Amino acid sequence: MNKLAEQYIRKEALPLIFCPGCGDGTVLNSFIRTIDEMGIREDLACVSGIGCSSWTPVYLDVDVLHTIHGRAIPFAEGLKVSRPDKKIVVFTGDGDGTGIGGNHLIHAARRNIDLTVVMLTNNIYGMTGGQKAPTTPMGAITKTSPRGNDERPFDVYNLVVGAGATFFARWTAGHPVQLEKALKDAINHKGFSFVEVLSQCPTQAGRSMFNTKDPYKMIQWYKENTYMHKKGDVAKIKDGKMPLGTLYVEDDVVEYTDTLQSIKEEAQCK
Amino acid sequence: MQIIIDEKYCKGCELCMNYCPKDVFEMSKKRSAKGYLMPEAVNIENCINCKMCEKICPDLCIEING
Repeated sequence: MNKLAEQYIRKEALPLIFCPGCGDGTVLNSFIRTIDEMGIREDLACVSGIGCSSWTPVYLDVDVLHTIHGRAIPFAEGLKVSRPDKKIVVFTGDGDGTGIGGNHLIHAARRNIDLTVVMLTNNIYGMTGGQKAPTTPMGAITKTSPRGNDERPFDVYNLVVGAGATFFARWTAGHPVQLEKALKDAINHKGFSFVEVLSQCPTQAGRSMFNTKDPYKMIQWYKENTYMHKKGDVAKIKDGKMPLGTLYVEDDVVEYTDTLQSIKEEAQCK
Repeated sequence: MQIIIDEKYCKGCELCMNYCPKDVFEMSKKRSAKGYLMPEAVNIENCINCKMCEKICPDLCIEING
């Protein structure tokens, strides 16, 4: 194992649960590099829910909370309110974050609480056997939509930013260097920051939606169906292609734990 | 220059082979204890130390020294 990873991984939890070629492993790799570069190991707490993506922080030798399905964000909010000094990173999947925990996601974004949410989008419920998810593209064939998905997918950017998030970045698992920088910016940003990573699932999505089990071909498909966002442009889906990059940053928005702190001080004075 | 691939954790996904800009890796016929085909650093003299293989590896098992 990589020498850098050896310092951060709990060896008794190995091997990684991910299938060969899963993008979630690459995200774990980038995240280890990010926390090593930032030197925030002691200040970090990771929270995750249920799903393949939520296994990502479980291997790390830092404070980790592995919670119930869809409820990673409420746990993280509670942790942030009681320990505002901690930097909290939530790992969630597209089904866990926007499907089961969709309501929690929009309300955390509305409060603009200082969390970093990393959502690993594989467009399918991978762990449970390949059912359609809220992000599955229209017409895609899955186990629960054998004649093509009849529902429109979520536009996660408009959902999260519309609800009040102040940082949004999107990359694929095939961009490890850019992802590292985006994770660093998201952790440094004060307020609700959201990083969406398009992560390939060669086992479930590959078999039913992409007709290939080759993770590299899936990465190539993601690269062909996305475009680089230019600063100042409106981030929208053009000709079915998703924008990549740091899509939205807003500073100087009042943050939730700061408001709570000022209320606490005011109450204690009287 | 030395490229170490940890056979205990490699799952043979071929991402390192596909990501390498200098075609350093090749899939060998050798299987690991778990039955996965292992990549092998055959053209090690071409390596430019860009560390893309190290960064893309989903199983954190590649290390480049040098």
